[in-house]
Formats: sequence, C-alpha cells, structure tokens
Amino acid sequence: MRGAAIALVLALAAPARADEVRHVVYAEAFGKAGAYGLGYEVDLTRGLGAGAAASFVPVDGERVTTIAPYLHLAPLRAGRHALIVQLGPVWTRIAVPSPVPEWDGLATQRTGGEVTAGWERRGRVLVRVTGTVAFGAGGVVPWLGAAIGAQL
Amino acid sequence: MRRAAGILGLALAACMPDAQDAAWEPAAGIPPPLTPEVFSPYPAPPPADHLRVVSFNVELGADVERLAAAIADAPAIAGADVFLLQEIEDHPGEGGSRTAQLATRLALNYAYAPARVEGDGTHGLAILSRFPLADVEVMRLPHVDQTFHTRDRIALAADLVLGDARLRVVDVHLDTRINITDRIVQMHPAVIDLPARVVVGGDFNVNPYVWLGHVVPLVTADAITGFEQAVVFEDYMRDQGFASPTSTSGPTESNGLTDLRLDAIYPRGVTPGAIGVVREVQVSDHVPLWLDVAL
Repeated sequence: MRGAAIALVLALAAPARADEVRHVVYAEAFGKAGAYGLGYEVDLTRGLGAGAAASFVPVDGERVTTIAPYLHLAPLRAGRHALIVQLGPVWTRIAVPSPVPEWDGLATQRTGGEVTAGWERRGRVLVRVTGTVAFGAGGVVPWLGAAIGAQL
Repeated sequence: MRRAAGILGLALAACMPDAQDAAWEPAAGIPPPLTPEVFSPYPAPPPADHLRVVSFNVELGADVERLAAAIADAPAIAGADVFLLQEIEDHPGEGGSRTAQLATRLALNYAYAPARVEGDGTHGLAILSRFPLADVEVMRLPHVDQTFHTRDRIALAADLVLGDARLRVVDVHLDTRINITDRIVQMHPAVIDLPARVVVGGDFNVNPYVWLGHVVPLVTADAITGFEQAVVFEDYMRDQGFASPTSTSGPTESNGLTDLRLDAIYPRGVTPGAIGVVREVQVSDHVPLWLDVAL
C-alpha cells in the first residue's frame, strides 16, 4: 500500500518534458461550471495539470456566472485512457434583475468547492465522462456530466 | 452601454409572462365552468383583536372527512379564523364541492374559485372563514409556459367582515418550475393594488433553484451559493410593504427527495405575531402553516 502511494506520488510529480506539455480546450455539459462550461487546461507534470472552466447562463432574466479553477490529476493512465480527478474552488454569482419597477432586484455570490472524478480518452480529441460533487453554502450536490475538447 | 441595457431590457420583457391582462374580477361575473362558489351563512363571531390565519396546500383534498378530522384534531389550527387552501378540487357525484364539504364539517363560511378544469371537475383555491366573506374576487395570473405540466394560476381575494371593519385576505398558488423573475411577474398584479390592510398567503412554490428551460434545475449553483427563491421573494414582498414573519417556519413541503419551504403568509397593515407549522397533520405533501395577526 505504501509502495503504491509512493509510486503514485512519483508518477504525478514526474516533470513533463517540453514536448509532452499539452494544452487542452474543451466544452463540457453538466461539469465543473454548471449546466455547461468552457475550459482550458495545461499539463504541469506527467500526471498533474491545472485548468479552469467557466460559464455564463442567462435564463429568464437571471444571470448565473460560474468560474471554477482546478487541479487535474491522472493517477491511472493506460495508453490514451486515464482515470482522472479534478478538485478546486468554484465561484458562482446569481444576479436577479427586477422585472417590475417596485423592486430593485438583488444578487448573491459565494465560493464553494468541487471534486470531479471520471474517465478520459485523450488523443487529438479529448473525451471525458465525469461525476462531480459540488459543495457550498447550499449543501452538497452530485451530478454527472461529459466534456469534449481538443488537445492543442 | 445605455443602449445595450435597453436592448437587454427589451429582450427580458419579450421573455416575461404577460401581466397586462391580469385584473381582479368579481366572483359573480366569472362564467362557468370556472364560476366561483361563495357561501357565507354564518354570522360574525364576537369582535376579536387578533386572528389566526392558516395557509395549507391540501393536495386535492380528496378525503374530505380525513382532512377535516386532521384539522379538528390539531389544536394549533382547529380554532383558526381563516384558512387559505390551495389545490382543492370539485368533482361531480361527491355530494358538493370538497370545499363545501370541508366548510360544513368545520362550520365555516367559504369561497371556492376554480383555477382550471381538471378531469370531470375543477381545481382551485379556497378561503374558509369564521367571519362572513364579502367582495370575493379572482385574478387570473400571468401565464408561464413551463414546457410540460403548464398550469393556469389564479389568486382568490375576499374581505373578512369584522364588524364595522374589513380585512382583505388573498390566497395564491404560483407555478412550480419557474425562475424567480417569472415568479415575481406572476405575483405582482395580485399584490400591487391591494389595500393597506391585507394578508396574503399561499403556496408560492419558492423552490431553491434556477431553472433551465423550466426543466433542469441548476443544482450546483444552488449548492455553491445557497440561493433560495424564498429569500428573493421575501425581499420583493418586503419592498411592497409586507412583513415576512413566516420566513423562519422551516420546511412546509416534503416531496420524498427534499424538504422545502414553499408556503408563506405575508401581512401588511396588521401586526404579525406567533407563527407555527403543524407537522403532525399528515394528509398532504404540505403541512399547514399558521400566523397570528393583531388587528
């Protein structure tokens, strides 16, 4: 068990060679940034990356803005397939403009957190299927999503 | 910037339900099959300096005998002065409307207003009162297309005749899967021209979500921010001069997945007192919510 943990740490910490550094852009549905998101990610080491996803959802006059920076881990990789884990904070702002003159409207914003786990297939085209747990002032919510993108 | 804001405003207005046609109509002038039923035979009890108002979504009220027994057996509401009921129905062959049957069992005056035809009968709102009812009116609220299970919604208003004085009460049931902006547009015509002394109660369906297409709740936005339509709605009602004493009631509805605070009572021009939720009354997916108001 201890050996496996050490191997995992070494795998994640192994620096990426310059020709291995990958940049990824993707679109997600029901992912880290809510109903949909646009994201960017860069490899830091062979098993570790950093990225951010964001979305802006205008709906019935309300505006929901979400920004989710995260660390990306790939603790298990076999060829193009990998088990991935992503975790980080999430900032969400909900603005409710008033639809009537007799009220001013209001807005609320908070920062919470998210943990995502899933499978990815990475080639020139990136495909991910993920499960996310979001937590914050309103409690804990799980949901399932998918992403498709391109490796630059 | 100003031009962009104007364009945004026009876009919002185009998406909003139309509130232009919403107006109070006298009950007697509403044609069948949605003609309200008003029966107010009981004389006013001795003058009181306070009233207990109950709001209760009775989830169709199909078993009237059980519903009446549940109310009569709950000390907190058995002697209440006014009941604002939502989701009560009227079907032929049941020996009178369910509102009439319930009011007879509780010895209360009543007004029942159908919001829509449902099967072979109607579905709507009711006000039951120890005090005589006068000036019963109905407002058809702005319609919101919810993609599926879209409903027609109404507000029902009546004056409680308290000796020489009157107190307007308004019973409301709003849509389910709508966002708070649509909810306020739907509610607004029912509260904007009310008299200074009034109690508005009902099932406002203020669920905690932002809805995408009236189908998908953005549950993560709710989880991160703790966003509650109820809190926004209360802010709106306070700006209309209402108090929000039932904001601390806790959940009033249980759907098997979550417990939600959907119901509320908002007084204006009278002094709110104690509140309570009668959790032992288990005849509906909602529980009765009550509020004392000093006149």
